[in-house]
Amino acid sequence: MSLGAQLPALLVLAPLAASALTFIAGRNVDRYVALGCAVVNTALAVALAARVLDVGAWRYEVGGWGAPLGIDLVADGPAALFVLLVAVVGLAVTVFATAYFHRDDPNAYGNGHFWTLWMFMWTSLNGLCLTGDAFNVYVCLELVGISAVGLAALKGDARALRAGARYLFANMLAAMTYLLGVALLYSATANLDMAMLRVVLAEGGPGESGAAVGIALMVAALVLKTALVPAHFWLPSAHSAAPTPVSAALSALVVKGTYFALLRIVLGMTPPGFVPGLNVLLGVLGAVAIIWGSIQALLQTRIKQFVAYSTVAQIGYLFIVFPLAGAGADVMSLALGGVLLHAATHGLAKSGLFMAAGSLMDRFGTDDLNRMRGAARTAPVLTMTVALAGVTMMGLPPSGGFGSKFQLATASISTGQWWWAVALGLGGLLAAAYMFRVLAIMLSGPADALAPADAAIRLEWLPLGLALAALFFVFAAPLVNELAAIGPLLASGAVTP
Amino acid sequence: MSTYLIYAVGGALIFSIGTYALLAQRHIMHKVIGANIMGSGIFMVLIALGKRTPDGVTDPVPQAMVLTGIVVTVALTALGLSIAKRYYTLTGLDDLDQDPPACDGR
Amino acid sequence: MMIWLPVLLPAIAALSTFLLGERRPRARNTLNLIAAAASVGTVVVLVIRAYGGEVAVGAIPMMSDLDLGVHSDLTGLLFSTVATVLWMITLVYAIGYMEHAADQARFFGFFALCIAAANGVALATDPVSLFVFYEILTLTTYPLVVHSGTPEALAAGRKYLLYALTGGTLLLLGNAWLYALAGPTPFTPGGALAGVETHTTALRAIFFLMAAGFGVKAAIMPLHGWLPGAMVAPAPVSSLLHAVAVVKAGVFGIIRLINELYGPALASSLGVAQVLAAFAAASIIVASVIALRQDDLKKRLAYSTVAQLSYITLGVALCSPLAAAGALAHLAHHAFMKITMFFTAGSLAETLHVKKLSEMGGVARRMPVTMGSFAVAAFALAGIPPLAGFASKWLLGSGSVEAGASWALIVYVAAGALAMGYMVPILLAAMRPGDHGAPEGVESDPRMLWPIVIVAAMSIVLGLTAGLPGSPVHWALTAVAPAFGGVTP
Repeated sequence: MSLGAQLPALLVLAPLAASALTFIAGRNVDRYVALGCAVVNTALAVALAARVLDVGAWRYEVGGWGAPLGIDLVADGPAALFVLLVAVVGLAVTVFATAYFHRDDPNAYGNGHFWTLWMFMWTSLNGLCLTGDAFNVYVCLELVGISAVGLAALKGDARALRAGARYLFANMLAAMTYLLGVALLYSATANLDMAMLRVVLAEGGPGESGAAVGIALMVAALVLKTALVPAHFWLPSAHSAAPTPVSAALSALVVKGTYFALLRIVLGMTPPGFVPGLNVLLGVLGAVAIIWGSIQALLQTRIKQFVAYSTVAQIGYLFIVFPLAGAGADVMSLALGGVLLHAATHGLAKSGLFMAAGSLMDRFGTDDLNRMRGAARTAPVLTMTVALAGVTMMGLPPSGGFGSKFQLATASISTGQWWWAVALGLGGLLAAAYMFRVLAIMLSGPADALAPADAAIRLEWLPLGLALAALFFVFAAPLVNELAAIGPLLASGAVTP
Repeated sequence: MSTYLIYAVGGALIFSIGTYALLAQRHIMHKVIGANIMGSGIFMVLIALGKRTPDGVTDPVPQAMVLTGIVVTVALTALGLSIAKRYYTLTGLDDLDQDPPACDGR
Repeated sequence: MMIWLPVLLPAIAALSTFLLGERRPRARNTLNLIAAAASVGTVVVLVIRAYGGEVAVGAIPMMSDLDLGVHSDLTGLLFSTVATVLWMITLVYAIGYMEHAADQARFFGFFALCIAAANGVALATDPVSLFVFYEILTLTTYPLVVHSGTPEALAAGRKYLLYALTGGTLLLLGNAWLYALAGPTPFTPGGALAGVETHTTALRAIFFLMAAGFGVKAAIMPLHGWLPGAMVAPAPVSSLLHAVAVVKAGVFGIIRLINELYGPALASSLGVAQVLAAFAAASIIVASVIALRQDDLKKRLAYSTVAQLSYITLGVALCSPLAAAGALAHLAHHAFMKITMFFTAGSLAETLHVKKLSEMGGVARRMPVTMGSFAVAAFALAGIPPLAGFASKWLLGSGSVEAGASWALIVYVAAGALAMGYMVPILLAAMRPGDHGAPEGVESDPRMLWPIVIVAAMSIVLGLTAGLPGSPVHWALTAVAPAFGGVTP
C-alpha cells in the first residue's frame, strides 16, 4: 500500500503523538512541538485533498481488519475538505496561541495544558471527519467533547468552570443519547459501517422502525452537539468564557466536526425519507436558528457573546441542505457544495472574528461592546477584520458566504422549496443588522481609551488574514464543489428512493 | 418474556431515570451520577442485544461497544468531578443555576 | 488582463492608501491621482478599441458554471468612463476639501474602492457578476456616509444600509431564481433569455425582484428614502457617489436588465417595462415637486437627483431605441451637471458655511466663478439648448414619440419646467444681497474651484459636440443599437 493511502491514519496519529509529546515536553518546548505538528498536519491535509482530487475516494482499513468487524477510515472529498479546514484554521490558532499564551508568564492559565488538549482535540477532529463507522463517530465525538470542555474551562475561574460544566453536561447528554441510538441501530441491522448500513437500510426489513428510532436518537444527539436551535443553550457561554484561541477553535471547528458527522449520518447513511419528517424538521430548525440566533446576536452587549450568537445563527445555514436531499443530482451538488462552502468560509471568518474580538476585548479592557467607540481610528486593523469577517457573516460577495447562499438559494428554488431561499435572504439582512450595529459603534466618535497594541503582530494581522481568506472564498467554490462531488455523500444524498 | 427483553426494557428504564437526573437535578454531583446511570442503562441494553443472534452464539461487537462506553464514561465522570471540585473550592457553590460571585474574564 | 485594470487600479490605490495610513498624505494623494490618471488612460484605450469593434473579456471561475466576468462593451464603458474621469476630478476637489479632516486614509481608501466597484458594475458580463460588484459598492459606500461618526451620520448610514441591503437581497433572490430557471445568462443585446420565454409568471417575478433591487440605488420612488439622508456625507462623497457612481449603478443595472437581459421586446411584451415606466414617471413628478420646497441646498439637489434618475429609468422602460439612447446619454450628462452643483454646495458649506437657500444671500458676489458654473449646470439640467441636458432630453422626448407614449413626452416637458422651478430659486437666492463680503483673489481653495469650472465647462462642451463621434449622444446611439436589432437610429 502506497504512502498516500496511509494518509488518513497519519492524520490521526501525528497530532496524537504531538499531544503526548507536548505533555512531557517542558514549557519552553511544548509550543514548538505543537507548531511543528500543525505544519506537518497542514501538509498532510493538503496531500490528502490532492490525492482525493487525483485518485478519488478510498477506504483505509485500520489494522487491516476491514468492515464490518474492523473500523474503516473514509477519505472522500468532503472529509478531505473538512480535514483541510481543520488544518488551516488549526495552524492559525496555533500561531495565534504562541503569541497569546506568553511563555514567560508563569501565572498564565493554560501554559501547561493548552497545547496538550489542543493537539488532542485536533486528533479527535481529524478522526471524526475521517471515520466511516457509526460507533467510531461516538468515540471521536467524546474525545472532541472531553478536550473541548477542558479547553473551554482552561482559565479555571468560576465563570469558565460554570460554562465548562454546562458544556460537559450537554456533552454527556448527547453522548449517552447517541450511544443508545447506535445500540438500537445495531440491534436492527447488526452493522456499524455507515456505507454498508446505507445498503442495509435501503433494503428495509423487520427492524426498520427500530433503526429509524436509533437514527433519530443519533441525530438528536448530534444536533445537541452542533448547537442547533433549540439545543444551542450551552454554546454562547462555553464559547465566550474560553481563552480567545480556544473560542476561535470551538466556534470555527468543533461545531463543524459534529456537523460533518451529521452530514455523514443523515445524507450518507440514511436513505431520504427513512426517518419520516427528519430532513424537513432539520431544515425548519435551521431556518429558525438563522432568525433566532441573529436576533439574539443583535441584542448582545458583550463582544464574545455577540460573536457566539452569530455562530448559532450561521450554523442554521448548514441545515438547509437536508430538506433538499433526494431531489436529484444537480440540485444536490449545488446544495452540498453550498453547505461545504459555508462550513469552510464560516470556519475561516469566525476564527478571525473571534481572534479580533478577543484582541479588542484585551485592549479596551472590557467586553462591553458599547465601550469600544472609535476603534476604527485607534485599532484599524482589528476593526477591518471585524468588518471583513462581517461581510462573510452577511453572505455578501465576494465572500464564500455569498457563494453558499447563492447555491443553496438556487437549489431550493429549483426544487420548488423557495421558502428556504427567503430564510437565507432574511438571515443575510439580520446578519447585516447585527454586524453593522457593532461596526457603527466602532466608527463613532469620540474614541474610548484602549491599551497600546501588543508587540506580537500576529495578534492583529493573522485574524485579518483569515478574514481576507474568507472574503475571497467564493473563488474557491469550484474546488469545493469538485471535492463535494467525490465520494458517497453526494451520490447517496441525491438518489430518490 | 425472554431474558434479553427484560434486560433491554430494564436498561431503557434506567436510561430514562438517568436522563431525568441529568436534566432535573441541580447539584453538580447529582448530574454526574445521573449521566453514569444513563450509561449503565445503555450498557444493559447493549449486553442484552449481544445475546440476540439467530444461531445462539453471543455477538462480541456489543460487548466491545460496552467496554469502550465504560472507558468514555469514566473519562467524562473524572472531568465532571474535577470541575465540580474546583468550582466548589472557588465559589462554595454546588449548583450551576446560582450566579457565582463576580469574576473578571479575559 | 487590461480589461481588469479599471477595477484593479482603484483597488490597488485603495490598498496602498490603507497601508500608508495617515503617515504620508502627499504620497497618498499623488498615488491616488496617478491611479486615477492610469484608469482614465486604460478606459480611453478600451473605448477606442471598442469603437473599432474589439471587445475584451476577462473571467475568473467563481461557482460551478458561473464566472466573475468583465467585458468592454460600449454601454458599460460609457458608465465606466464617466466614473473614472469624474473620479480624477473629484480627487483634486476632495484633496482640497478634506485637507484638515480626520481619518483621511479611510476616506480616500474607501473612495477608491467605490470606484473599483462602480467600474465592476459597469463592465460586468452577467447579472451575477454585476450583483457581486453592486454589493461591494453598497458596502464600500457605508464608511463614507458615516465618515464623521456623528449620530446623524450613523443614522443616515443605518437607513442607507437598510434600503440598499434589502434591495441587494431581492436582487440576490432574483438572480438565484433566474439561475435556477435558465442557468448562466450573460448579457446579450436584445435579450439573453431565449428558450425560457414561456415561463412568463416566473420571469415577471424575477424582473420585479431585480428592478426593485436596482431601484433602491436608482432611487425610484418609493425606494428613494435613503438618498436625502445620505447627504450628511462629506461633499466629495455626495458629489461623486450620490450623483454619479452609486445612483448610476442602480439605473445602469436597469439598463442592462431591460436592454441586455430581458431584451426590450420581451420586457414590453411581458408588460413589466410599462409598470416600471409608470413608477419612474410618478417619481419624476413627485420628486420634482418635493425639490421645489427644500430649503437645504443639498437636499434640494438630492431630490432633483431622484427626479433625473427616473428620467433615465423611464427612458429605458419605454423600450424604444431613441429613448434608450437618450437614457444612456442622460446618464453621462446628468453626472457632469449634477457633480457641478454638489461641488458648489460643498464649496459654499466649506468656505462660507452656507448650507441653506435662506442663507445664500450675497454668495454670487462673493464667489462669482463658482456660482457662474453652478448657473451653467442648472440651465443645462433644465434642458436649455445648446447645453448638455438639452441633447439627452431631446432624445428622450423623441423616443417617447417613437414609442407611441406621448404621455411620457408630457412628463418630460413638465419635469423640465419643474427643473427650472427648483433651480432658478437657488440662483435668485445667491444673487440676493447678503453679507458674505466682496470677492477676494481666490474664491475658495483652488483645488476646489478648478474642478467646478472644468465640470461646468463639460456641460457646455458635451452639449455643443452632441452628435460628433465620441460624444455621449453618439456613443449612446451606437451602444444601444444592437439591443434593437442593430439598427442605428
